[in-house]
Amino acid sequence: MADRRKLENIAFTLSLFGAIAMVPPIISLFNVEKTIFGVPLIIIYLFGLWLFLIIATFLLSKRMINEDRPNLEEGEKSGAGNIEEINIENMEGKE
Amino acid sequence: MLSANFVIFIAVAYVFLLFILAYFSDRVSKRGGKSFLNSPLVYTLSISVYATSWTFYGAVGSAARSGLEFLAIYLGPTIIFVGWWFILRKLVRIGREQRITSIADLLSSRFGKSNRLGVLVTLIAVIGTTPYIALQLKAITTSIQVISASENSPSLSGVDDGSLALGIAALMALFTIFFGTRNINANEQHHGVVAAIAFEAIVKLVAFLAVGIFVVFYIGSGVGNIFTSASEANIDIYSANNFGPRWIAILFLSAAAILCLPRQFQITVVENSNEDHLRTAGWAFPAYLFLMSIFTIPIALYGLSTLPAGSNPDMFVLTLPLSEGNSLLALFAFIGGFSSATSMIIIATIALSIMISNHIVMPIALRSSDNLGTEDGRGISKLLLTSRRISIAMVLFLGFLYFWFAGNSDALAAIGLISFAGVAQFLPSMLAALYWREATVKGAIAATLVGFLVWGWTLFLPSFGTSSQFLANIIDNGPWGLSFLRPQALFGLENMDPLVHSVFWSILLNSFTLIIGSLISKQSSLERIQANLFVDIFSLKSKNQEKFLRRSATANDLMFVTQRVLGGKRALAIFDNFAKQSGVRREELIVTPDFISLLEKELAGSIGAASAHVVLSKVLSGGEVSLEEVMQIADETQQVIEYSHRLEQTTKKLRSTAKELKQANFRLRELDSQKDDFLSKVSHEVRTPMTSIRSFSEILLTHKDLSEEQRMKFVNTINEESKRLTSLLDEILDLNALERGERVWQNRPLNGEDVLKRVINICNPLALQKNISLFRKKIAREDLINGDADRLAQVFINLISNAIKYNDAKDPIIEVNSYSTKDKYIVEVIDNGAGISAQDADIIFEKFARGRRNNNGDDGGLGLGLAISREIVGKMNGKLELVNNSSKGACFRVSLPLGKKKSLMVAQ
Amino acid sequence: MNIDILIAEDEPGILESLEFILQRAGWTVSSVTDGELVIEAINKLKPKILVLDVMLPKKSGFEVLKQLRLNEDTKNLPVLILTAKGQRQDKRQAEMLGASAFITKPYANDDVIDGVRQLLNLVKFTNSQ
Repeated sequence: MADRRKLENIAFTLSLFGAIAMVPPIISLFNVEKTIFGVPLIIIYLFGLWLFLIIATFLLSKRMINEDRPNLEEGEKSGAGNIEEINIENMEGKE
Repeated sequence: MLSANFVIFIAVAYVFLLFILAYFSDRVSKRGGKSFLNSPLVYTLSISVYATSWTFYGAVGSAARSGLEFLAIYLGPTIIFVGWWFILRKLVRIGREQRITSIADLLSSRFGKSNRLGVLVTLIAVIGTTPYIALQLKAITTSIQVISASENSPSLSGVDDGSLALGIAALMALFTIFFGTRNINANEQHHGVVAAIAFEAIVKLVAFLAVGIFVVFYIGSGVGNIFTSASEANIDIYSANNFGPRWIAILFLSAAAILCLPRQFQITVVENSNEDHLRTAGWAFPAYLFLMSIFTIPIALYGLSTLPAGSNPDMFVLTLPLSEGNSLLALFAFIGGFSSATSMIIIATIALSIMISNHIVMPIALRSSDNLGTEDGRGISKLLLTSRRISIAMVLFLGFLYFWFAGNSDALAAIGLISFAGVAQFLPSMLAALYWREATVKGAIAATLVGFLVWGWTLFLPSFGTSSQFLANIIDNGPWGLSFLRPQALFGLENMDPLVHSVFWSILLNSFTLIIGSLISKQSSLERIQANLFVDIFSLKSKNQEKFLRRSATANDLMFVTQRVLGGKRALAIFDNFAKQSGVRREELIVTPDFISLLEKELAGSIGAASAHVVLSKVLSGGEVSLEEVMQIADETQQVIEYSHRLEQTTKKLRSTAKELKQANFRLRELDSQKDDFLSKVSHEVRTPMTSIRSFSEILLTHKDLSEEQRMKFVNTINEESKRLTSLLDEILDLNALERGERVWQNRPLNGEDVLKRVINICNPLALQKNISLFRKKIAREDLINGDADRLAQVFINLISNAIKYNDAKDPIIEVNSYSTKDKYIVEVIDNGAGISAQDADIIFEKFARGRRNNNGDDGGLGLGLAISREIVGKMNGKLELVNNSSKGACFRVSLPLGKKKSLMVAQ
Repeated sequence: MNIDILIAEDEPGILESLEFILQRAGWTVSSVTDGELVIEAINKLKPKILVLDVMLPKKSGFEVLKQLRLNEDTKNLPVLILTAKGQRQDKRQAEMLGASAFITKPYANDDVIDGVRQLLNLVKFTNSQ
C-alpha cells in the first residue's frame, strides 16, 4: 500500500513538474539565443522535456496499481466487496 | 498531373475505404472478436482525433506565423495524460459506472440529473463545435484547391468551393449516420467508427512524417541545415516567443479542451472499453503528439526560406512536395489532411447528435407524450435513431452554413482556439463534478451560462468583427457606447491579447459564479446522492449504491419500457441476467431498488441520465407523481435504508448487551435469593433459641412461685439455648470466613491417620454414652496429605458426631474406614441408620439443611456442619461426598490428595 | 376429652415454655411435635384453638393450616400461627390461608396469652350466638 501511495505521489509530482517546467519563469531560462548543432536551445528544451515526460509516464504507468478497478467479469469480486454486498442484502431485508 | 476530379475521386475512394473498414470492424466486434479492436493501441490512436486538420495544416502555419506557440496546443494535453491517474481515470470510471453518454450527460447526471444543464451544455457544444466543423470543411476544400490548382490554373477546375464542401459534408453525414446510428447501443460505443478513426490516425501520422522526412532529409539536407539556412535568411520564428500570458492561456485551453471537447469526451470516456487502456494512452498519446509535431518547425522554416513570399504557410505541407514535383507525396499528404478533417467531423458529429437527441429531443418527446409507446412498440428506440440521424445531418449542415458564410473571414487557427475557449467553459463544472461535493446545479448552470456569455461576447462575437460594420463599432466603442463593455477590453482591461483577455474573464467569472452560486443555493436530495456517487467513485462499490423507489410497477411494465428503448433482445438479456443473479425465472422477477437502478443505468446508456430518470419515474409512479416527488422519495428511501441498516446494527449490539445484562441480572438475583434464603434461615435458627430464652426468662421474672426444681430446669434450658445460640453464631462466622477465604489458611503436610485416631479417641466416649459401637474395619498405612490438622479433625468430628446423633437403629453401629489409593487418602464414615433419602441427599450439604431429625430432642445439629465440612475439605483440595453404599445407612466419604514429598517441600 | 388449646411445636424448649405459660393462665393444653400429627390430635382432642408453628418437621404449619381450612369440621377452628422467620411474606401467606392470629418468635409471653385469650373469647362468643 505504501508503494501505491508513493507511486501516486510520484505521478502527481511528475505532472506538476511538467506543468511548471512549461511556463515562465522556468521556460524563460531556456529562451535564450543559443543553439546546439544549429538547433535553438528552446526547441531542444521543450522537446527534451516532452520526451522525458513521455518516458517517465511510460515507466510509471506500468507500475501504478489500480486496486479498486472493477472487475470486468461479473461475480468475481474482492472479499471486501462481498462483505459490502452482504450488508446491503441485510439492508434490503429490513425494508 | 493531379486534376481536381482525380483528387476528389481519391477522397471519395478513401471514404469508401473507411466504410469498408468500419463495416468489417463492426461485424468483428458484434461476433465478440474484440481482441484487436479492444486494444489500448486502438484506443490511443482514436484519441488522436484531437489532431485535426488544424494540426495537420495549421500547426505549420502557426509555427510560421507565431513560432513555438503551436506547441502549447500539444503540451496542455500532454500534462493531462501524464497525470491520467488523477482526472482521466476518475472520468472514465464515472463514465462506465454511470453509463455516461456525453459531456452534457456527465454534468447533467452529476448535478441531480438536471435536464436544464444538459440542454445548456448541448447548446454550447453545438455553438462551439459547428465553426470547428466548418474549419475542417474549409481545410479540405482549400487543400483540394491547392493540390489541384498548382498544375493548371489558380482557379478551380470546374468545381466550386461551396458544392465541394456540401458534397463532403453529405458524405460525412452518410458515413456518420451509417456507423454512428446503426443501433442504440447499450454504452454508446461504436466499434466500427473507432476502428476507422484509429486507421485515420495512422494515415495522418504517417503522411505527416513522410512529408517531414522528405523535407528535412531529401530536400532540406538535415535539421541543422534547415535552422542554419533559415537564420541566414533572417527567418527567426522562435526567439520572438516570450512565453507570456498567451502561451499560458493556450496551455490551459488545450488542457481543458482535451477533457471538455465533446469529441474528446466521446472517444476518451464514452468509447473507452477498459480503464486500463489509459495506462497505455497516458504515455502513448503524448508520444503521438510528439511525433506529429517534431517536423512542424523544420517544415515551416524550410517553407518560409524556399517558397516564394506570400505563400500560405497553412498549406506548406502540400506545397513543399508539389514544389519539388513530388505529387504522389503531395497526394499522400492530402489524404493525411483529409483524414484529420474527417475523423474530427465524424466523432464531433456523433458526440453532438447523442447530446442533441438525449438532452433536447428526448425530454421534449417525453414531456409531450404521456404514454411512452407509440403503436409499434419500439417508439423510443425509433425516435432516438431518427432524432440522431437528423441531428447528424443538421450539425453538418450547420457546419456547412458557417463555412459558407464565414469561410473566408478568418485564419484557420483562430477558430480552433475560439472553439477551445468555448468548451473550456465546461471545465469548472466538470472539475466540481469530480471533486467538489457541495457544488449545486444552480451554481453549475449559472457558472456555465456566465462563462458562455462572457466567451461569446469577448471572443466569439469579435471573430465576426471584420464581416460587419455594426460589430466592428461595438468592438471599438462598446454597446450603446458603454466603453467598459467593449468585448476586447472588458471592464477597461485594455492592451491584452484578445484570447488571454477572454479566457481570463470567462474562466474567472465562470469559477466565481460556480463557487458563490453553490454556496448560496441548496442541493436537492438527488443532487446530493449523485454528488457522492461521483466524488467518491473510488471508495464506493458503486454497484448497489443507488437506491430507487419501489412502487407498484411490475416487472412487466419495466420490460415494456426497456424493450422500447433498448430493443427486445437487449431488454430480454438484461432481464434474464438479473433474474439469473437473483436466482429466479424472468417471469418471477421482483422489482427491487437494485434492479431499478440497474435499469436506469442501462437506459441512461442510451438516452442519458436525465431522460432515463424521467422514463423510469413515469413508469414507476404511473405518471402521476412529479419528478420532484420521485426524487424525494428516492432520497428518503435511501435514507431510510441507511437508517434502518444503522438501526439494525445498533439493535444487534443492544440485544447482545441486553442478553449479557439479563444473564448478569439473573445471576445477581440468584445470589440475592440465596442471600435472602440464607438470612431467612439464619433468622429462624437464631430466633428459635432466642424464643426459649426470652420466654423462660419472662416466666422466671413474672412467676415468683416456682419450685426450685422448675426454676433450675428453666434456667438450665436458658443456659443450653444460649450455648446453642453462641455455637450457631460461631458456625455462621466460621462458614462465612471459609467461603470468603478470609481466614489465613495454611496447608501443611500432615499424617491423616494421626488426625483420625485423635478424633476417634474424642468421639468414643460420646458413642459409648449412646451405646453405639464405633469400630474400624480398614486402617490406612500412614500417609502424608496436605492440610490443616485442626480443621480436618473438625470435619471428622462433624461426620462422626452426626452419625452418632442421627443413628436411630436398634443396634447402632458406626464404621470408620480409612485407606489409600494411588494418589488419594480416603476416610469413610458409615452408619447403619435409616440412611438419607435421595431427596435429602441433594440438599444435606446446603446451609441449614437438616436431614432426618431425631425425636429425642437432643438436637445440637444446626444444619451448618456439613456445609462447613465440605468447605474445609475443598480448601484442602479434597472432596466430601455422600456415596451409595451397600449398607442401609449413610456413607460419607472424604477423599484427600496424597501429598508428594517434593511438592510438600515447596509448599513449606 | 375436650381441651382448650393444642400446641404444634417441635422445639422442646419453646414447647415447654408455651405449655407452662398457657397452663398457668388456666387453660387445658396438649401438644404435638410434628405436622403430620396435628390433624389427628385435633380430631381426637377437639381443642378450641390451635397454636401452630410454621417450621414443623414432616409437614409445615402452612400445609396443616391449608388442610384444616379445607375440612368442614375444622374450617372455623381459630389458629394462632407462630413463626421464627418473622417476615412479612410469611404473615401475608398466613392471612391468606386463613390464620386467625400471627405471632413472631421470640415473643413476649403476655402477647401469646393475650392472643390465645382473644381467640378463646371469640370461640365463646360465636358459640353463644
